[in-house]
Amino acid sequence: MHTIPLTTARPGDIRGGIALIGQPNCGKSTLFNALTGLRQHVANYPGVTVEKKQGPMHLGDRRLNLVDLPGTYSLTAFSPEERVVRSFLLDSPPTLGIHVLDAAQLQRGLSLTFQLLEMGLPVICALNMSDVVRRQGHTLDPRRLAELLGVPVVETVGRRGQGLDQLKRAAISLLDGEHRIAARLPRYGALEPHVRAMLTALPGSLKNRWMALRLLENDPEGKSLLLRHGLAPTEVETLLEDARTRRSQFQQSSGQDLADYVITMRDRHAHDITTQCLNTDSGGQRISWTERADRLLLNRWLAPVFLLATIYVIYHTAIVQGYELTQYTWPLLAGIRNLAADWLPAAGFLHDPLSRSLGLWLMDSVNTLLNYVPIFLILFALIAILEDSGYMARIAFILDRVLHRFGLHGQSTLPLILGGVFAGGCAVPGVMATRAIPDPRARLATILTVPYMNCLAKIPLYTLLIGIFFVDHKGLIMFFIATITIMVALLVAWLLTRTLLKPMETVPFVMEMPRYHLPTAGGVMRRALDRTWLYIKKVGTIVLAVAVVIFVLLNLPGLSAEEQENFEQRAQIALNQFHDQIRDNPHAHLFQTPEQLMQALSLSNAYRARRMNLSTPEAVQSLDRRFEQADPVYFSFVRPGGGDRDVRAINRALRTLDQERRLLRLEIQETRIHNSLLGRTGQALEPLTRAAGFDWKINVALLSSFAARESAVATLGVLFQQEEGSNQPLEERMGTAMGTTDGALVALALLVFFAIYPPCLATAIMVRVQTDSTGWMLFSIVFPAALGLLIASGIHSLGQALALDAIHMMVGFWTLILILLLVVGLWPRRMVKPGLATASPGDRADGSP
Amino acid sequence: MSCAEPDQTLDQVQPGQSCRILRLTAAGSIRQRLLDMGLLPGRRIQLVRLAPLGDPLEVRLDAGDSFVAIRRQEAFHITVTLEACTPSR
Ligand SMILES: Nc1nc2c(ncn2[C@@H]2O[C@H](COP(=O)(O)OP(=O)(O)OP(=O)(O)O)[C@@H](O)[C@H]2O)c(=O)[nH]1
Ligand SMILES: [Mg+2]
Repeated sequence: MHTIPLTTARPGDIRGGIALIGQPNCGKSTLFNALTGLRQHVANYPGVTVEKKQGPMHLGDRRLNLVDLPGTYSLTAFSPEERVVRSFLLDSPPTLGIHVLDAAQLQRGLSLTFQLLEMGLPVICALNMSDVVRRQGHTLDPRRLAELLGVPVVETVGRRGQGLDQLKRAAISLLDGEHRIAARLPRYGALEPHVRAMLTALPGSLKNRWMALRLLENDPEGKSLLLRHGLAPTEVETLLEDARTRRSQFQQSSGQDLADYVITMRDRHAHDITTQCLNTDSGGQRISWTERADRLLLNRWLAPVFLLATIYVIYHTAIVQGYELTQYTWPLLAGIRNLAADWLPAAGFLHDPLSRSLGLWLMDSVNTLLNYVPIFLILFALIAILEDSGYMARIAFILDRVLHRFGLHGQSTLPLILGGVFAGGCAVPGVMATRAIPDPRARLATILTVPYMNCLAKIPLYTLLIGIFFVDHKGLIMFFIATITIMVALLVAWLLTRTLLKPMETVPFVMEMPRYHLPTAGGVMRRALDRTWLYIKKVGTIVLAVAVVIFVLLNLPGLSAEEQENFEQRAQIALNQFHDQIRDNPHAHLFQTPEQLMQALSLSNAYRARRMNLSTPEAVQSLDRRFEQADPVYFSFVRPGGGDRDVRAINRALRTLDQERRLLRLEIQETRIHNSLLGRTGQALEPLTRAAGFDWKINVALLSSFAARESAVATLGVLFQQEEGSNQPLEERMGTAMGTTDGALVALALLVFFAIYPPCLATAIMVRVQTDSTGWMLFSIVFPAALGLLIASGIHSLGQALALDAIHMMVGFWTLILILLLVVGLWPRRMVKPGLATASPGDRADGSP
Repeated sequence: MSCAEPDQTLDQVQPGQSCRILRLTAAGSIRQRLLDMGLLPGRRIQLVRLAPLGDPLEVRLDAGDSFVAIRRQEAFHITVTLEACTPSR
């Protein structure tokens, strides 16, 4: 018997903390949320929480800090999660630990319980998932378990908030000192004398059985731990030497590996305890619901069918239906833009006030991003359902073989889906989701390949180019894009893991298959909202900031005095023409001053912009009424058709003037961009991009799309632009501007380049956060840019040299990539059997009886 | 497989067969990970199924409620003896 004193916590004490500890996926974060009212991510997927998270929790009159720790199976230092938990428990020990146990996997969980108790940590066991045990028809006796362990045990159902009060009461009575812990620890037979001997030599803060055992087991971090806790280097050496002799002594006399022996003894003790408090009702031969479902869902032949069906449902509901939804939300956003256009300082004849052009530019940048919100809400909700139900882990199981072949991991599936494998997604949450991948090398490879997926922001450019050049082959091109990105990503992952990432550490694939759960509505919504919010924050911060920078880069230094004068002259000519045309008109007095004229032109533009969003005659009528009320005099000249001969004559003259004005403004803008810093960069890059067929305008669009991909279309829109309110679609404008001779080939090169294009700024920052390395961030930008340019140049130049059209080139390129993929994927691989090299079976003795 | 050749590695076991773990032939983090997941010497496990492409494998621990997926590469480090070959205890 081993009593643990509770010294630090007194009533009213707020310093002490409580930690939630337990194996992955046992429900720690669920309990954390229930106890603190905070919103920590929960999913039926092991390894969701990777860093420790904390929040305040009220216990009677105390306010304590509750810490949610990553899930761990034990406290060795092999995985990053274990290291986080371990150093937390050793270096800043909490007042109290709540050890969350998955009641349905008691035996495995108990081994961690023992380690916590051996550390001397006061522990309460939360027997979570007790509903699962009950549903399986078993009964667990928590009181018996409490007796056998010597610590308080509380049954909980985290999902439904059951048992929280008892849990809090148990914590309070421990903190108040009403209850003392008298832990019953496993005994280690022949090893006991060694443990006791080590114990006496350990310093105060580490004087516990766990540390003694770890030293005997030759803990890789033992030395630094001892040094950290104030032992002199010489003392540490003697201690380690002592542990070493004892280890070999024990292994020689018992013929067993010491670490194995310890694990086996703990397991045996856990087994004893489990059999004493678990009442299996029918000898454990009942087939669980999960297993029944898996017989179907993981059936060798049916599994791919279910997987494809799932992906199709996601694609259809989120992308197809989501786009339908945006048809309702887009007019809303467009309405806001129109309001802003009215509210901002009025446009001039040739030049607009800076606040107006910048304001509208920002508005457009934000709108294009906000337009996707409905899609993301649906997409992220569906993915949350996949995660919470437990099917995501099955997807990892099904696909691991393929992904592993290319250096990725079964658990790369979620990041790739979030990034938009087929069409639609966002690399920011995608890169974030790589955290759950336990293998460092596969994780980095995944981080570097997620940006190749088709994020939603790439779609507008795809749609634009398809609309211009490939109208007849729409389906074929979409198929090409959807498949080529994942194929290229796999090849890149393969290449990277074979070269740059080769020396990195890898971790074996040993994954718990979680039970199926019915997802909770709250959990799913919370996740969908959180991830969408992350996306909106990106709009709110990075994209806005970068939009300002790009605006500046696109507009400075502006027009030269000469160009300025030239435009002024042409404007004057147009104005004179207008006045000539209406000289004898009885309404001419209404259009004399520049202010009058601008009022008419602005009204005309505002009307056209609103009219564009309307489709029904009723809506048009009501719009007409509104404009008529607001400005009855000028609207009669602006409204198309109607009025007497004189009014129509003015309407015609106004239209001509308006057209001339738009043309001039377009030329000004183009000249300005041509002169601008970004424009000059685009021109300077032309020699580099000539092989791919990109002219300076495309270069500028690509450069600006680094801020956020969606701005590629916006910038192209400006470059091939008409004045605001124009209704000639960008497709037509670009089509005429790019010519048709090898336009399609350029478009194909551009499509491919854009598919491989570096991550947008927000994603690059996320890569920096997740890899914790600026080098990898830069690499994630430079490598795809170079690769993309190389491939695009290849496609364009080869197509020109062989006089092949775009569709043939596309099919050829696709086939080439497919062949490469198959060669890499099917190349026979030598089965690596490192086990034979490192340890011969003989000297690693087992602990079986 | 018959009892003529009782000791084999887990990757050679057929779906549906049960076996007992004899020893682990891996070292370092692989070994620790296997032990953590409950793949200890002496444990009874059943190979439930293979993934559609033949890798990874899914095993069930102690006829209980824990299911673990493991790649062939790692399964190779687990030496087992088929259940039918050991006298039942
Ligand atoms: N049936 C049942 N399900 C639960 C219970 N508590 C949590 N869950 C579910 O179990 C899954 C895992 O919960 P999490 O709270 O994410 O687990 P975790 O321990 O934080 O997991 P990691 O962060 O990966 O270590 C979720 O799907 C929860 O909804 C419970 O008492 N009963
Ligand atoms: Mg968690």
